[in-house]
Amino acid sequence: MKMIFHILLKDLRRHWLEISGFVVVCFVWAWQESHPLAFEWLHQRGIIPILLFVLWILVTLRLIQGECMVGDREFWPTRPYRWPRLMAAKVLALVLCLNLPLLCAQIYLLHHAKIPVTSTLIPGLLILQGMFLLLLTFPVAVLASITASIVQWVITVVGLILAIIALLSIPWDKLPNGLSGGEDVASWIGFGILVPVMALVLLWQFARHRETPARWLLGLSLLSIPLCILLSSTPMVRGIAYPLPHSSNPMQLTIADSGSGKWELRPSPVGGPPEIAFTVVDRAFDSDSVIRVDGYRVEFSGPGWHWQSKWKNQTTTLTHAWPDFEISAVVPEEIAGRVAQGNTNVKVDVAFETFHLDRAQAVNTQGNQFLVPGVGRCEWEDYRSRVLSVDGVSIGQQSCVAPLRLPPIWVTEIDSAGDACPLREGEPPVPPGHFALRVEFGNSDMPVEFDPNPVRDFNLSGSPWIPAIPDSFTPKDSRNASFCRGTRFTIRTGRPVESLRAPFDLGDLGKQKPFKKKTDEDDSE
Amino acid sequence: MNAIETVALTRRFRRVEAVRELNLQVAEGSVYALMGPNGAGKSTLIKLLMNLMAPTSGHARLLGIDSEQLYGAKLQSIGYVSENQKLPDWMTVEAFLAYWRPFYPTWDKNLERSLVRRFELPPKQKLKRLSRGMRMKAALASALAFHPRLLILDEPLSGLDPLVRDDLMAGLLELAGETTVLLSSHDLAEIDSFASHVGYIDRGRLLISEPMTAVRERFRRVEATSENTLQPPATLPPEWLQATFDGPKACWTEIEFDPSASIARAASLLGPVTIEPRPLTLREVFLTMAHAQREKAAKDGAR
Repeated sequence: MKMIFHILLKDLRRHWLEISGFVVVCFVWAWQESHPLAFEWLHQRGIIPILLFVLWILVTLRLIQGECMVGDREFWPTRPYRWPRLMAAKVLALVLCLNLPLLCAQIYLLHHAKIPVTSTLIPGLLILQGMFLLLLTFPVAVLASITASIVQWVITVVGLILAIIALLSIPWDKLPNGLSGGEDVASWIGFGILVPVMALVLLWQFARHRETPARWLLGLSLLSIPLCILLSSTPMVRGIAYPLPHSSNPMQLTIADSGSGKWELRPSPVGGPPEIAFTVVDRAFDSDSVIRVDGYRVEFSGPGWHWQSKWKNQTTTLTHAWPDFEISAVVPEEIAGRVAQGNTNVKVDVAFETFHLDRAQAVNTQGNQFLVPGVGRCEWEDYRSRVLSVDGVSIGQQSCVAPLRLPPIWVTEIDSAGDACPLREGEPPVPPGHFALRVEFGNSDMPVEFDPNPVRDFNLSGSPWIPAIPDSFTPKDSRNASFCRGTRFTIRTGRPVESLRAPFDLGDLGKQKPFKKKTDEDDSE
Repeated sequence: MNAIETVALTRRFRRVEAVRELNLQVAEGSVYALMGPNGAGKSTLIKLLMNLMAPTSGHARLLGIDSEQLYGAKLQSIGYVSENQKLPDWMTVEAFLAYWRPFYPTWDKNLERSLVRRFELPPKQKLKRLSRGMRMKAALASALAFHPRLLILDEPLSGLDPLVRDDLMAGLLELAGETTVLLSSHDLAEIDSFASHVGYIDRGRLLISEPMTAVRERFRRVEATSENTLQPPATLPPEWLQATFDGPKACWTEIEFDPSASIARAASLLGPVTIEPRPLTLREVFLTMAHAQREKAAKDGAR
């Protein structure tokens, strides 16, 4: 331990200028984040966050390359350094010089956002530091360990960026669509290859400083990126991301019948193959669940023929209020003709994620501030609190913040009885029995969101009333519910339960609906 | 026991063999001078010994430790100084020496103080502000202050003025007996005075490796005088290098000098001659070997 501190002190003495620069910029950034209206020109240009990022990299580079692991002219490899102690000293220096100031800045930002930094937040803040260490410091340090100088490091990074650009220029869109779950699994596979290889490279360099094999190993591991892109659309990865249900299927789909028919044949506007579309309804919906459909594929069959589409990546949210969604597939002319003749059986494979909602909690928004349980807290911005919506689009009139991350899912429900928004002149109140439901998803599956600012902003946004109420002024639009001071609503947060792929035999496709061409007016909606 | 031992040590850089199947033994307590022209492979050999490079094949042992395992605590008894080393220039001499102190359990603070005094090192001066000679002195002080069992010096004297060289040599001489020293240098005159063993390396091959006394005995510049004009023999014996013939006089460097055998060989090849053998300095030995190798290379190239 004594030796670790001995090396650490040497590093602090040597790099005090860069470290001090980082600490100053870190606190300027925190101040700027908490005072968005001050130094607006600086804020708009994003100079401080860029500077913070650059200094983070610079300090990491200087600390790691302080004992350069490349070349045969270095002094230190001929001295009795014990590499685990050297490595521990470097990790300690990085945590002390980078993570500690950031942690202090984050505590300040939480405090400024009036979010108490209680013991429940500490693990999250520490996980966030770990994420910065793993996702930012670690890759920079690995590249620093196989390069001899900052210039060489920059050249390597530029080379990597060019390689990524070259990779992106490959027509990946020719591959079958990958569903989001498959992409997640492929990303984890890539992460599972890259992180251990990078760790090995770093350990190898600290222990043996033989840059040539380390560079080769790292270079080869980068091939895992195109490999993962290729993997993401394979049936194997799709099968891992969306396994078939073990017990009962949480969905029960049937084709919705509008009365005038069940399906529609839409000609292509550009003269390509037509599209067959129909709506399916989940009849087994549980009010404690939300289903997010990630994609599907369709299979049409008739006597002596059979056709199956590729997987289509399409995200749709289903709740007990909206249990239906449209399925469409571009089909060859010949198949469209066969389907039109009738007697067509249809099967769909749906990939989806289920969420379980916790019990509803009532929220009263009468006060200047109010808590949104499980999400965060909101504060009315008085000067806006009267403006509820403009042309039916609700605007944020509250300023809401959440610590570290937003929940994976949260659902707000306003009952017409709880509506407290002032009515526009001549507008009738919302009749009883109506409600407005809105489902929001968090951005991250991780316990915290990877962002230096731990304060997450969110808005309570309105949604159309159910059943729909035509707008008094523009009757073709539906009236939207909004959040106003005094609105009573319920909040339900939830968690993802499982991702599944379920096949459904929907039976006979039934009668064709007459095709209604979309007008320009429809498009403008 | 040998402090350094290499077996068929080879290092290849693509097609160039910088060190070729080199077998070297440096006895404990000796001061071994490694000689050779520029690009001969001296620095590569030293880097292989110090584990700054991995050998392509073969292996080396230092103080009984495989060179590829030479890191961490195993370096606590080995000192290394090279003219090309990057020093932590931002440190003062004082901080530089203080930084290394805890790394060596055998660090001798009194010796450190005496080395600083002897080398006239300015303790408060940053290394980057020092002259090349002073930086070498600081590096040497840090490599001597822990009483190393083995000291490896790569061209420590090159480019230094005579006064600094004398200081450094004096510092090294104080270690004689206590420490095994391997040094490569072009400053042959200085080595001559204190090296106990000498090695000559060229194109990665170790051509000579023996005690200094043996080299002194073996190498002679021979001047032969005859009453008649001397003609060079059809084939010169391999023991004769750099032979010149000028009328009744001939000169050559005998690399296996033995008084009776050498006289007999000269008589059989040149007829009755008077021979005057003169011992060579290390510098002359080095130059003779270098020229001979160059001639051999030219001949090989012509073929």
